Amino acid sequence: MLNGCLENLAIAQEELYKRFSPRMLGVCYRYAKNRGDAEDMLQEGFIKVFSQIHQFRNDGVFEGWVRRIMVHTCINILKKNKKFADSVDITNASGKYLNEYNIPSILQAKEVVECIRLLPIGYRTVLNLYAIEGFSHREIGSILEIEESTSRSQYTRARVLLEGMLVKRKILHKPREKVKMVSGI
Amino acid sequence: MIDELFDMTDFEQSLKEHVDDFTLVPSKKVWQGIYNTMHPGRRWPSIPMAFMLLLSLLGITYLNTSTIQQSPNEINLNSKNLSSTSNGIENNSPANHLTVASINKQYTTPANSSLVPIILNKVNSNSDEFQNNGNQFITDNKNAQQQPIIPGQEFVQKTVNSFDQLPIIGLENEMLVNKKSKNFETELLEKPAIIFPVPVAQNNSDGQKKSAASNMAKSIKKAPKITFSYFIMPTVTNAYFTGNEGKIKDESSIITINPKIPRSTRIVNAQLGLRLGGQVEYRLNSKFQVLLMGQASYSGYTVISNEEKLATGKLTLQDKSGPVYTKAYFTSYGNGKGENQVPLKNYSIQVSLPIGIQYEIWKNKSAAIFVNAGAGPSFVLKSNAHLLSSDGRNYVDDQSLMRKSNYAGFLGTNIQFHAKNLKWRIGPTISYQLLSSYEDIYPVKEHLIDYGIKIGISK
Repeated sequence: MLNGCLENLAIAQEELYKRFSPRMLGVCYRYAKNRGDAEDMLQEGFIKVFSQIHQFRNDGVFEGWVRRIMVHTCINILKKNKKFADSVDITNASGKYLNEYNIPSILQAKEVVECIRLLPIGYRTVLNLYAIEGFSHREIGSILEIEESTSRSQYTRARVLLEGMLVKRKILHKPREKVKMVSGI
Repeated sequence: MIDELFDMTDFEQSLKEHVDDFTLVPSKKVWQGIYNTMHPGRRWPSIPMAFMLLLSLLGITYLNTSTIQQSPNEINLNSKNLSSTSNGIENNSPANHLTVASINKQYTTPANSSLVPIILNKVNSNSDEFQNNGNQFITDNKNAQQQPIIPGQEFVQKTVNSFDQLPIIGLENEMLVNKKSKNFETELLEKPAIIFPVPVAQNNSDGQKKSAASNMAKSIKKAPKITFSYFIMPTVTNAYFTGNEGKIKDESSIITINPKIPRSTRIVNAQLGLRLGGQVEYRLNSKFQVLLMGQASYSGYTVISNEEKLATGKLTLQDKSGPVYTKAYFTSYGNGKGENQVPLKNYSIQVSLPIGIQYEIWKNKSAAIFVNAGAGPSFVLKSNAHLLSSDGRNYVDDQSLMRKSNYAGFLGTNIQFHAKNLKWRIGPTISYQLLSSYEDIYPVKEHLIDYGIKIGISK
């Protein structure tokens, strides 16, 4: 299949697309505002995959390589469309942008993804990159052209919001609070 | 720090596990977009195909060009005319001579001649045709009539004193049959000869036999006033939605029944259709014709839905007298935004009787261009309707909301040319459904638009 894609054979490309597109669309869906945007990201991502497939060095899992391209494509599109403008400070975040009642009743994986998508786009992107894709805050700062500290604070706020939603849906159990030791007692 | 209250590793691990299981099936247009980008040369060549079609039309027009002038005095040569002609001419009368017209640069029909020039070519005396037919040689009338008359080309004047000497004495099965005279072979010249039977000049008094010209003039054909033609028209149908998609006005006030459903919610794909029919053209004058058509059509479009659990979809309707009410349906079709997408076809089979006007905007010897427009009623024989519920979440099926009759207008243009003894007309036509596909109780208005290439033939 890879050799066929290297030769730009449509059949091989279609086979590769069919194998990886459902999962990759799931990746794009976490970054996009809606399904249409997600499909646009997916399309552009696969075009890059097929165009740059000769750069794959067989030194890792192919799916991982495709996924990285897809993530970078999503980020580039978001940056191009200046979608980060609606990130908000945590003091104003609660309730304002979260219309949780619109989430349809679906399986848990989808619920988690839908909850992630409810986050403001800046929080959502940092959360996706750090918690799911495994980038460091330094790398995130480089990708998104923000400070490393900004990335950390954005992630923290995103996590607080997300945990609240997941706890409310009983997908995540509320962690026990750690007790502070007070000296002298 | 706030981070220390949570177990970071477990949260992120759990999040990643949940998210990795999440998949979505992309729509077909994604792959189509990728394919068209990676293989641009193999895209369905709509533009080159259009050029090919245009070139083919021009080629057909050029190859089938008739160059013989069609004058009002033209008649069709047939055995009846010839025999009556020969009966009306006395032999050996100096006045009954037949002359071959000399060709000037400006070719004109000789005075009093309403006859088709017959061009004879020398036949190879060694040919099978000549040998097999003994004393006769045969000239193909069809070819003779279609040979071009080239201004300036030299023709030989040939005078014969009687019809006996005229090579042509009649028609048998479209072939001119002549009697071979002794010297005819040598007399038939190298160059083509045109022969005009000339009417009798001195017999002008009453009671005389009618001249050949007047006999022949009887059979002058005029352009017909009424023409019948048949057509076929492949179409592409699309749907256009208008109307009060959100608000329904009650008796006393405007009530917002549904949230406004944006048009983009519906994922609509155009589909191929077909139209067949016949038309009668009544010629008012040289430029205008009245058209009366009868046609049957199949048209439709596809909406993209998705399969989901059985749910209840509702339509908010308003009766003519005013009351607003809701109709509920069981459905397992979503609005197309979920997984397991399926196409749902909305189609309609109709018969219609449009009336229109056709105007000739340009014409020459071989082709003509027309533009036409009209409108008329149509009657729905069979249809189905998948309608988006009032909350925009599901598709429901209710054929009772479809109109049984409608009204449509059309606008088109076509080029007309002759080929293989038939008159052809080819050109684009747009048809627009003037009334909504649905009854008035349903607030959403749907209008179908058909784009097609109409191909018509007539004799």
